[in-house]
Amino acid sequence: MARTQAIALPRERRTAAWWRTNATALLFMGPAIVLVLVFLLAPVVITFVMSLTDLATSTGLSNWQWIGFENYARMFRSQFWLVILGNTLMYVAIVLAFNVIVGLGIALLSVHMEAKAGGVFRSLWLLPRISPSVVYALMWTWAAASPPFGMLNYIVAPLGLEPRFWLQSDPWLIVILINGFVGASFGMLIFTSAISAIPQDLFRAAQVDGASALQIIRRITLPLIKWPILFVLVYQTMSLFASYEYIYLTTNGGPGLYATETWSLWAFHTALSNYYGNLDFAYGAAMAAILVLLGLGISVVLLRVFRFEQLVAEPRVEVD
Amino acid sequence: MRVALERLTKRFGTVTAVQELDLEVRSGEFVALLGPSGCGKTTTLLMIAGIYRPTTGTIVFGDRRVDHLHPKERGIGMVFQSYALYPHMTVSENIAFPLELQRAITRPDREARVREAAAKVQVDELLDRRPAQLSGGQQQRVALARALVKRPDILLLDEPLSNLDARLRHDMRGEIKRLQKEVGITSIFVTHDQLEALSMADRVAVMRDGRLQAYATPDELYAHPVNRFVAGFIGSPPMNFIPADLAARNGDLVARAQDIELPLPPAQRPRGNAAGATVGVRPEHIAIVAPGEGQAAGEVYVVEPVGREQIVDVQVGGRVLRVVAPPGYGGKIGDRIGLRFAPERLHLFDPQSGDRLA
Repeated sequence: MARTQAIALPRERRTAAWWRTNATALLFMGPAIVLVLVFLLAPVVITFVMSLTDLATSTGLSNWQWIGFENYARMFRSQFWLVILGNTLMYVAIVLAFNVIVGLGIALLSVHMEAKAGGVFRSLWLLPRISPSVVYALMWTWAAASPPFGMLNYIVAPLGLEPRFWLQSDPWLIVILINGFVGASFGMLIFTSAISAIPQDLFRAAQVDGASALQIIRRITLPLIKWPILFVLVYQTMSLFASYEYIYLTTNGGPGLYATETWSLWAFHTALSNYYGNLDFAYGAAMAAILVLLGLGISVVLLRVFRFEQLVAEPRVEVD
Repeated sequence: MRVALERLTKRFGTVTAVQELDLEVRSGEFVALLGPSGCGKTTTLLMIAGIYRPTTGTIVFGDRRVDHLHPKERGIGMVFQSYALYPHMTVSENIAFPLELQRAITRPDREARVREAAAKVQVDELLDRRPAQLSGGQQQRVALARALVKRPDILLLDEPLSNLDARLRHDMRGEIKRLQKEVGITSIFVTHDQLEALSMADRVAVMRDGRLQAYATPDELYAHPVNRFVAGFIGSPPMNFIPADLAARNGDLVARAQDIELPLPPAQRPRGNAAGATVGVRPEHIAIVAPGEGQAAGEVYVVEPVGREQIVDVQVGGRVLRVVAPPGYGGKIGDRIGLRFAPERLHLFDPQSGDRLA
């Protein structure tokens, strides 16, 4: 009834009515909307717009021109883009797996421990995250230093491994471990609280029903924390695609040419820190734009795989 | 299967939840663990289930000691207060879960048993629903089906009715009792509601502060409570307690409080030479009579009609006694009345220990 009347009103009356009903809501949401627009949406738009120009140190802020999709064409003409894409996908996939599996492992272990011990154990795993990234990265560079130094060499010596300069010989191993240990604590926090939120009675019921500890994890715990797992997967995927600071601080994309260069590091090098002194802002922006598309695409795939709609509970029906 | 608890004790840190509990449940018997919250009844049940380990003491099923066994090795089924249905599984998956974990059961056999268990508790129409789509009563039934589907020797129920509304609670009370007799399974249930315990159980174990207070049939608990706590906990409305002096008069013993004088028949006389006692009398064992008659005089304080009877609070001297009156009683606040106590229904308790004196 009310609806049909509203449609019958002249346009200006309708607009006024809309403002009357929604003004308060908008007012309350205003600050948040401004923040989202300025700090989240605007950078993406600016990046994309900038990627259509030739803005660089050489052009300055006054001499740049619109060049359409030339930056994108140039990117895919580069002989390194495939290597770097491969690096990126491998880096994201392996570190993501490490983060989620180790995070889940620590969460499961720590909630099955005595409460205090579990807390201490989790705090230890939080150390990489709470220490400043430069300090943490430096620690790793020292640990992986060339022989006869480097704590890693001492740790692996009893296993019969030759001492080596890990950052040179196995750069990916170090890059994956350093990111993995930081990322695992994120999953750990989310999974621990998700597991703790499962009612105790469900675990007791499963025990009485005859389930072993492993069966309880597989049949009860994991299905019930599906949503947090999905969240961590998507969130970590996004942040790994965008993260480069630990690689920058350790191998800086090396050794050699683009050995551990990932897409975001490539964008950073191109736009803000390249060898030639010509900072290619626009070209770097184009690389960043590709990164946004890549992250979006993969997230959509993950949401599909996990059948997101089905995670939303169906309404309760009272019949009695 | 017979269940025996011997000197069962559970401590959590410095707190003793259950202390030296001895209890035997006969095969096929339906026993209630009754007590106020914090009395140790749920802890006891969880020890029987194998979820808590006893600090000391033993648990015997049949003639097998089980206190070191995991829940799954004990042959028990359990219904939880929250029902604990797995929210990500349908009703039929929930019921099938205990069977799926047993490799020996084939798929067709499993499906047949799920259908059979579901039919027994009338949820066979709901097999494809998820727990969130069920009402409280339906969830309760599914939980029962899941507990019974693997044909356990012992059924444990933790506050099975406390999450249901009053009407449904009444229905389920009868149904669970009938189901228990039909299946003939040894069952133990925990409740804080004395009415539930009395109406469902063959025998009731009353617990307080981790200790067993009484273990008897509902009739026995009602008629001969062993101490003041049991007397006050069993029965609704609760028993009246009157501190009184005991004195001899004309060769008879009387209990005397301010405005009340109660002659005690020989059977009610306490052993020994007690000078005082707490006299307990249930509201249904006091009758309202004309003023001047009976053993006490009082004034109607308030009248609460509850359908088939009326609960009348009567002011006698400085205290209020609760009396059950028939539905036709037309007393008004302020009416002066007399009270007649049924002498053979008086209970005498030690004023200090609370133990029964006679």
